[in-house]
Amino acid sequence: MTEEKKKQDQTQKPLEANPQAAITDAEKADIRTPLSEAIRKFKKQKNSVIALCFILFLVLVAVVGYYLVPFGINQYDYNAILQGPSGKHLFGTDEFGRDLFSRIVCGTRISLAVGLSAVTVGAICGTILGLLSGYYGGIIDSIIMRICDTLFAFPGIILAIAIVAVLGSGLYNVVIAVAVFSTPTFARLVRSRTLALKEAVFVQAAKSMGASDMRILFKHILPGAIPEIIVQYTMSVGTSILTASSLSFLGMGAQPPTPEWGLLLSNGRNYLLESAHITLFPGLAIFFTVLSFNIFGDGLRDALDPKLTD
Amino acid sequence: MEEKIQGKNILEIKDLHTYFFMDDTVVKSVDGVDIELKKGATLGIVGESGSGKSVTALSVMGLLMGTRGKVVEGNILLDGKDIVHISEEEKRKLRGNQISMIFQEPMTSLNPVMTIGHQIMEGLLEHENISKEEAYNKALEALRLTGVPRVEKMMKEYPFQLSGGQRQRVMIAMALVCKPKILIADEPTTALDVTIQAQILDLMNNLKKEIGTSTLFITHDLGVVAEVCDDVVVMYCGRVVEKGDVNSIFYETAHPYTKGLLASIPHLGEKSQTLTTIPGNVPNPKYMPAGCKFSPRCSYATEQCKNEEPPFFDMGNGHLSKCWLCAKKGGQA
Amino acid sequence: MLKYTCKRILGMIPTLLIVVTFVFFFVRMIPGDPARLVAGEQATLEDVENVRVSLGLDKPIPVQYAKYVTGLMKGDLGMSLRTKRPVTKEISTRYVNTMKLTFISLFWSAVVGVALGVWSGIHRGKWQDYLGMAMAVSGISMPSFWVGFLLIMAFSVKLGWLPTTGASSWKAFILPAITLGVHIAAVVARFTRSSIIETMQEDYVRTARAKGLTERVVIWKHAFRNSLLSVVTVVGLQFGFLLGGAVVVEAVFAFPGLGSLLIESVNYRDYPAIQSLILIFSLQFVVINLLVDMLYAYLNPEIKLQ
Repeated sequence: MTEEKKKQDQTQKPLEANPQAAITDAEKADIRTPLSEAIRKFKKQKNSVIALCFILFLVLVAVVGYYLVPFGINQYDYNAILQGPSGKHLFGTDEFGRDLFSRIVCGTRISLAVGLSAVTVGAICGTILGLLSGYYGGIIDSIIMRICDTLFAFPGIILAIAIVAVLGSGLYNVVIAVAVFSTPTFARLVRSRTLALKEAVFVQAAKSMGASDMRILFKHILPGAIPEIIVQYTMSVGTSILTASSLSFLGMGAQPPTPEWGLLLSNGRNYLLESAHITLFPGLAIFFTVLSFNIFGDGLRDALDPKLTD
Repeated sequence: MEEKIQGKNILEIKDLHTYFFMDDTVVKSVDGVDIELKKGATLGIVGESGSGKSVTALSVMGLLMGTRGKVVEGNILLDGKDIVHISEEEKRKLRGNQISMIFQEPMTSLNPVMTIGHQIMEGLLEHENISKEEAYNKALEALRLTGVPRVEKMMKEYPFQLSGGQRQRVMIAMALVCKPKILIADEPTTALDVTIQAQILDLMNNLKKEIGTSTLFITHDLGVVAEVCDDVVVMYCGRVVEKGDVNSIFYETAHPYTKGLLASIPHLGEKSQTLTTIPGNVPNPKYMPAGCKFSPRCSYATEQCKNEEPPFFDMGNGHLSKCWLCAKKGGQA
Repeated sequence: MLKYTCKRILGMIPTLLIVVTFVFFFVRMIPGDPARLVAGEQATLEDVENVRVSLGLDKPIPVQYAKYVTGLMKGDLGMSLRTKRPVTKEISTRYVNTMKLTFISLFWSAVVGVALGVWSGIHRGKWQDYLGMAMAVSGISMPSFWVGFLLIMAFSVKLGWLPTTGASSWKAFILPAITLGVHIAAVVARFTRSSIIETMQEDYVRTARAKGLTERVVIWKHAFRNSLLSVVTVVGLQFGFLLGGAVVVEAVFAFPGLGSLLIESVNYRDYPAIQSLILIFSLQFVVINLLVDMLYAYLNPEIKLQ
């Protein structure tokens, strides 16, 4: 298209007042789409790019970690109890002589799986509830919002503890618990986007052409909410990993000998004086994982925010 | 060029260059501007959006903090004293005190959580060594001068309780309460209804007579210029293209751009079918044309215009125009 | 203002009712037979039945519910199955401890969070901003139990300055309060920063500067004063997190508060205690939200003058 325009301009007489010529060729090459804008802005934020790389690295570790670690996750070695970090045991050993490094690496899969699945379920449920609530309004809206309000009345961990108390401990139930308390956040978010987009002209246009409600919801309104959902998703993964590890720490989540990071940490509390490494390393693992999701989420949010232009 | 003998200049802007340093480029918002404001007069600065008129005002006020703008070259003299190459603290002491400014958006220019009275008093208490009571009385008087009814009541109210016109009057009161030497008004009536606009312009005219403030009136509306201004400066692409007293500008227009602006005002009684416009758009600051900046849109442009930037030509009586065509009309470079 | 307050209090009541009902039915879903737990392993079926009757667990659910609600209104929270004492007695000292801990944490984290957020915001893009936000993003990423242990290792174990456990002296509150507040301070800092960046770009800030006011006045009396509204809301919302975080922190520090009581009760299936604790946590949260709303109304002249 640029080529054709160029030719067009050259055939105009140079001395006539020609509005088209006022847009120079350099300007034409500068036109940007929203997606390319977002990617460009994201790439500018070095932190977020590094965080994304770290997340991908973690995923890699989660997938192949089990096969590459030097020691088994339940490999007792009574000759090597409570040793500090060394060449052989990078992060030291615990009270049974198990290699902490191997256990932490294998725990990556657990934390990521729990974090991602819980938030995915919560996001899907919340999005559906939010769409229905915002679009149909009326009684559906009232009921859904009342449920959300009630869920919001309970601090997150308390709700998770309550759910785990009913369902029993174990990681599956932790996933359910976290999914339940993530749902209202997404529901609220999607609901307010839906309310805003419902009135948009393109939705009215689709309606007047006879589009069904489902079609409007999923093909027109949902795409408008996707950026916010994605940003919230990323931030929620961090919270979800923290909650899961907290529950394991309290004894309500993963059970021994699962190498879940929170559980590993809670083992270490009896050995704070001599073997601080048992508490230190699992904590660092949790910290860096959640940190990278949060930084990535921040970068996403800044990149997708239309207000933040140069 | 000869100095004007009548009227001392209370404000002199000399060869001002204000640039904005963005991530990948430098935007030259004001690129070589000379403006003189005579004492007691009202000078209109006219131009389209992007011409650099607001940035000129902000440069005078020293209000470029928080932006990426900087005065890179030039001098601004207030009553003969340099106000550019002084410390931030000294600039701050001048603002609201010797030079005041009012802005275009009265609806958002007042602090929503502070009472009107408090907001008017703030400047007084900062710049003058007076008690709260005295400040209150002075603020009251300033507000009264703007013609607002039930002044005492309004002093205790919050901005959300006021209309646009009332808020602009409050802004004027705030600006004049310290009796500044210069008032800069940046499109003060653009956001208001036409009837309110007339009231505010009247008010400003009266205040000028009463207090004698010299005013820099920035606008894109030539009708307003005709009503309130004594002298006019026309800006385009960060430069002055024409300046002179209001009669010269309106009746002896010497620049195609000014001509275009005047031609685009619709007149009552005319039977023309289409509205006259200036073709094209203001150039993107990143992609400035060579030569005369107006040439791409100018119907009189010659080869020289496209390649060489013209100097100022003196048409007599202090009327200057930056156009090669002036050479033919008898202008002196 | 008064009318607004009454309206909000009235609006709170349906939510409270729903919460109470929800908690009642929810606790009934916890597996395990409380009568057997109380009667003991050795008890015969008859004994267990006797215990069941004495606890009122044989009556139909609606009756139990009615008894529960009426009991609540009289301030009777039931008997703890674990300690055989009234729940109110179990809660009383612990309640005070947890409340002290929560308020100290909220106070310091709000102050530090706001200060850090404003400092970062007004130096947007410069090193102060990067440092402040690096600290904040780290703060929201650290698991509170880990922070707790790190502090214990540093200050109790290695340096011996502060006690590790209990709530005996004011010193015992320091480490738990720091641990509990870290996440909140970080959240408040991040939010305050974006809020102050927004308000500093508002037109009235330009007006304030045009009046020649000092930068300090411009930042605090103009920009921040307008951010205050939303910052207050966020701080209030964080209170919910504080209550939840208290559970974990109390476990780390063996702090005798409501949180540790909740854990013990859940492990024991102590229905009345669990019920009452969850209820207390949520009621607190709802009440705090109400107070935050009222504070917001007071600070916002548009509502205050209605």
